[in-house]
Amino acid sequence: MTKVGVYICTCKAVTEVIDVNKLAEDVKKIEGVELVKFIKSCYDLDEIVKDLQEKKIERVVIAGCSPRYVLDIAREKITNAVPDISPLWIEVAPIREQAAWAFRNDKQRAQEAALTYIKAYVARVKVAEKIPKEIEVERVKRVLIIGAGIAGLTAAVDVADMGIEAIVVEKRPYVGGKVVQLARYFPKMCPPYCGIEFILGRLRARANPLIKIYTNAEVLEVYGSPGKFKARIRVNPRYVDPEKCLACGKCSEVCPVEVPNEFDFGLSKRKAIYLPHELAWPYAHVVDPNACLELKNPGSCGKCVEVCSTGAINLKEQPKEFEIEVGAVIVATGWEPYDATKLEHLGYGKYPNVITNVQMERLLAPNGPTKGEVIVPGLGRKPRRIVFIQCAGQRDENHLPYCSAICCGATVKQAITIAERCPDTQIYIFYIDVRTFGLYELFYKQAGKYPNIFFIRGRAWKVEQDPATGELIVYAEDTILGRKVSVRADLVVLAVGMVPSLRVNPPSWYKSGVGRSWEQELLKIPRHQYFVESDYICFPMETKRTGIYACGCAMWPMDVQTSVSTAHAAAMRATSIILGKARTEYSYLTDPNQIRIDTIKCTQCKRCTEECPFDTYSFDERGYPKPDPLKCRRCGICVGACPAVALSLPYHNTDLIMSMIKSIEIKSDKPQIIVFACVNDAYAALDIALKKGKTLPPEVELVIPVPCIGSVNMRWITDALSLGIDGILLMGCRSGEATATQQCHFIRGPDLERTRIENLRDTLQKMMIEPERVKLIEITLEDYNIVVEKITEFVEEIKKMGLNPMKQFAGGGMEYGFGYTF
Amino acid sequence: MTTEAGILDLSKSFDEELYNAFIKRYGVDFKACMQCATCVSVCPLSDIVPGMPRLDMLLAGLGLFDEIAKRLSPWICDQCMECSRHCPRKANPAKVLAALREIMTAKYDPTGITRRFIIGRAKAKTSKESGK
Ligand code: SF4
Ligand code: SF4
Ligand code: SF4
Ligand code: SF4
Repeated sequence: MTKVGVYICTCKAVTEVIDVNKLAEDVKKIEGVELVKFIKSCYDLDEIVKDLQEKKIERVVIAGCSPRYVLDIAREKITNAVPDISPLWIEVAPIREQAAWAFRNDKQRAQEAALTYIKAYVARVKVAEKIPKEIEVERVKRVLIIGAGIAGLTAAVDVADMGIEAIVVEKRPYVGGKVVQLARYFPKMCPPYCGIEFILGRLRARANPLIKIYTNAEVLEVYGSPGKFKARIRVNPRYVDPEKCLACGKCSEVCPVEVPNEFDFGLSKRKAIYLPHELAWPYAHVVDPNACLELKNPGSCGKCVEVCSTGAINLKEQPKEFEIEVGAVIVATGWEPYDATKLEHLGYGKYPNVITNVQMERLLAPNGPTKGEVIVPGLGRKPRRIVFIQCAGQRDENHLPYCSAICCGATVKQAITIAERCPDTQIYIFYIDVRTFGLYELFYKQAGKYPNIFFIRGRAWKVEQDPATGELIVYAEDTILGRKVSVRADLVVLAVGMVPSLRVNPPSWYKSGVGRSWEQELLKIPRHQYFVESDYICFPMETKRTGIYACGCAMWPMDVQTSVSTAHAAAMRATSIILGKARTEYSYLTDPNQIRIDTIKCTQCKRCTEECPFDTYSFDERGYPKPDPLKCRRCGICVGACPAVALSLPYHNTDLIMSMIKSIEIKSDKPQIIVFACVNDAYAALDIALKKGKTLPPEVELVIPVPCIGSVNMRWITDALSLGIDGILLMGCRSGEATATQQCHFIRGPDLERTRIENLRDTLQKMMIEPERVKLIEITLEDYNIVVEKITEFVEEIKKMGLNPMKQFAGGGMEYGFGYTF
Repeated sequence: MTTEAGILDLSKSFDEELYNAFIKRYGVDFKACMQCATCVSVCPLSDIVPGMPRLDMLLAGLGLFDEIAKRLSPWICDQCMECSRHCPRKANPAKVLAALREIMTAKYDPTGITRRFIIGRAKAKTSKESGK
C-alpha cells in the first residue's frame, strides 16, 4: 500500500476562499493518504523531505499553486535530498488556480474543486512509476561535419575547442566552400580568403589533432542512434598525393585536356589536372576523373606522371571507404546559385554578356579569369554600361518564391567595386525593393552616392539585343515615374538567388528508422518550404532528426556573418547533446522518460511510426514498431496516436491520465467537463486568466495538463465519456502547414489531434454519444483574455445538449469498456 | 528621348554634360534620396506640382534633364527649406531645386553666358573623390 503525504499550502490566496481545515479532514479520508499537513508556501519543502527520509510517506502531493511554477523545483529539490524517490512520485495539485481562483465567487464549489484536484493527483502519484533522475548512455565524443565551407570549418573549431573530435567531410578537393569564390565580403570589403586562412592557420583547424578534414570525400550513409551514429564515408581519389605535390604546375602545363572551370563558374578553362585555385588548401593539384584521358582510357596519355618531379601523381589511386562512430552530425552543405538558364526572358545562355552575380564575383576576384578587371565576356573590353537585375527569379512563384536575403547587399557590393574600378562605367540597378537589412542600409546609402550608380525601381522583364549595335536592352516599368523605361548595356548581371542545399537536395544519406527516408518525407512538401529545422524560431539549428543539426546556407539564404553565427550555434547544440548533463529539454539522451511499447497490446497498425515527428521508430524482427528512446523528444504524440494504448512515457501515459479521470465523482444530475490543455500554452494561458480574476463555470471538473495536445489518446476520451463525463475540451496551439502559421513545438500536434477527433465521430455515434461532446480549440499563450470565454462557450454547448446518456451507467465499473478499436 | 513604343530610353536620355556639371557643382549627397516622399508631404507647393521635390530628385539623379525641363518645380520653389529639414537621408532637396534652377537657366539661356559660368567645361569628379 503506497503511502501518500498531502501538503496543503496555507498561503492567503488559498485560505481566503477555501476552508483548509475542512479540506484536510476530507483529504484524510482519501484512500492511500497517510498524512495531511499544512505548509506555509509551495516552496516550503523541508517538512516533506523529513517525512520522506523518515519513511512516513513514499509519495507527495503538494496542494498549492500551478505545477507550472513549482513542480520542477519541488522535484529537483526533493530528489536531491532523497535520492531514492522517483521524481514522478511528486505532484502538485493546483488548488490555488483551479479551485480558489477558478471559483472565487462560489466558496462551496471551490471547496469541492480543491478536493477533486487533490483526489486526482493522489490517484496519479499512486500509479506513477519509479524512474531515476537521470540515466547514463554511451556517447561518442566525435562530431561529423558535412561541408568544409565557412560554416563547417567554424563549427569544427568550436567542437574541437570543447574537447570533442571533429570529422569534416568535404566533397570538393579544397576547403572554403563558396566564400573562396567570392571577390569580397560586404560590408567590410575584405578578401574572403582571409577568413578561411584565419580559421585554418590562426585557429589551427589545419593542425588541430582533434580536427580531421577529408576533402574529395562524401558521406554515404548515417544510421543508428544519436550519441552513437554510424557514418559511412568515402574518400574519392585525388590521384595526387598532397604531401608530395609542390604545386609547381608542370603537370597542368603538359595536360592536353581543357574543360570549363567550375571555380570560375565556366568563365575560364582549366586542365584535367589542376590546382583548384591559388589559395587552395590542400595546396596540391588534383585530377578530374571525368576529364582525364588516361583514366578514361588507360594507356592513352599519362603525360603528367612523366613530368612530375616528386612522383606525386598516382593515377591508380582507389577510393577508400570507412565507417566511424559519431555522437552527432552537423550539416553545413551550403548553397547553389539558382539555375539562370531557367530565366529565358532575361537572356541567360542566349547572350554571352548576360551573366549571373556569382560569375560577376569571379570577374571581380583578383584570382578570377580577368584578374579582377571588369571585362565583358565576348567583347574583351570594359563595359560602358552595366545593368544589374535584382530578384532574377526570387520572389517569383515560378522560380524561387522567397527573398534570397543577400543579393541586394551583394549587388551593392559589386556595384561599388565596379564604380571604383571603372569610374566611367554607368551602373543601373533594377530592383523591386532594396532589401539591405540591418546595418547594410548604410552600405546601400553609400552606393546611392556614387555618381555612376543608378537605382531604378522596377522589375526587369525582358532582355533583348539591338540587332544593329549588338547592345543589350533591358526593359522594365519604372514604378516611381510610372513609365516604361529601357536601358542599353553591354553587360547584364542577373542577381540570382541562393538555393539552400538542404531544401533542394534533401539528405539522401540519412537512413530513417521506418524505411521511409527523410528525403521522401521532405519531398511531400513544396520545395522551398522544406522544413528541415524542428522549429524555425525556437530550435532553428535542430533538424527534425535528433542529433542532426544544420547551419549556414544549407538551411536558408543568409549572409556570411549569419552563417558563422549559426555554425557556432549548431556546434553548441551538437556538443551539448554529447556532453549535456542537465535535465534540459535538449538532453534527450539522459532523460529517463523513455518511450516504451507494450507489444502485447500493439496491433502493428504502424500509426506511431507515421505520427512521430522525429523519426523515432524502426521495426523489430517480429514487425513490431521499435522506438529508439534516444531519438525521442518526449512529445507524447505517439502515446496519443496509438489506438491500442500500447505506448507510454513514464511521465505521460494511460495509467496516469485515467487514474485522474476515474477519481472524479460522477454526478447524475449535473454536467461535468474535462479540459486537456497543452502545458506550454493553453494551460499557461488559463493560469494567467485565473490570476487576472476570471472564473470558470462550475461544470468544469478537471483541467489536465499534457505535454502536447497531440498526446491525448482517443481512448481516454471514449473512456471518460463512457464513465459519464459530459464534455471534453482540448486546448492546443495553432495548427497549420509546415510554414509560417504552424506553431506547435512538436511540428503538428494540433493537426494530428484534429484528424483523430474527426475520425472519432463515427465511434461516438455508435456509442449513442453526440460527437460534439468532444471539441478541439486553438488557445495559445497569448489567449489568456479569451480562454475562459472559450471554455464557457463549450460548457454552454454541452448544457444545451443535456446530460451524457452514459451517466445512468456511471459507477458501474466501466473500464476501458468502449474502446473504439473493438 | 522616347522610343516608338513610348518607352523612355534612360541611356539615350541621360544628359551627360549637365549631369557631370551638376555633380561637380553640387556634390553627390542628393543621390542618397530613397524616394520616401517625406519632402512631398511637407512641401507647401506639392499640390501644384505633383511629386515636388521628390521627382526632381529622382530625375536629377538619373540625369534626365529633358524631363526636368517639363516641370515647374525648379521655378516655383520658394526655398522654405521644409523638405530639407525633414529629409531622413539629409539629401537636401531644397538645395537641389535651387541648383536645378541654375542648371536649367544655363541650359536655356540664349546668350550662352550663364552656360559658361555654370557648366563651363565641368567634368564629373571621379567617384573616388566624390563617392561615399
Ligand atoms: S594523364 Fe590525364 S591529367 Fe595527366 S596529362 Fe594526361 S590527361 Fe592530363
Ligand atoms: S514521444 Fe514523440 S518523439 Fe517520442 S516516440 Fe513518441 S511521438 Fe516520437
Ligand atoms: S500505434 Fe500502437 S498499435 Fe499501432 S503500431 Fe504503434 S504501438 Fe502498435
Ligand atoms: S529627398 Fe529626402 S525626403 Fe524627399 S524623397 Fe528623397 S529621401 Fe525622401
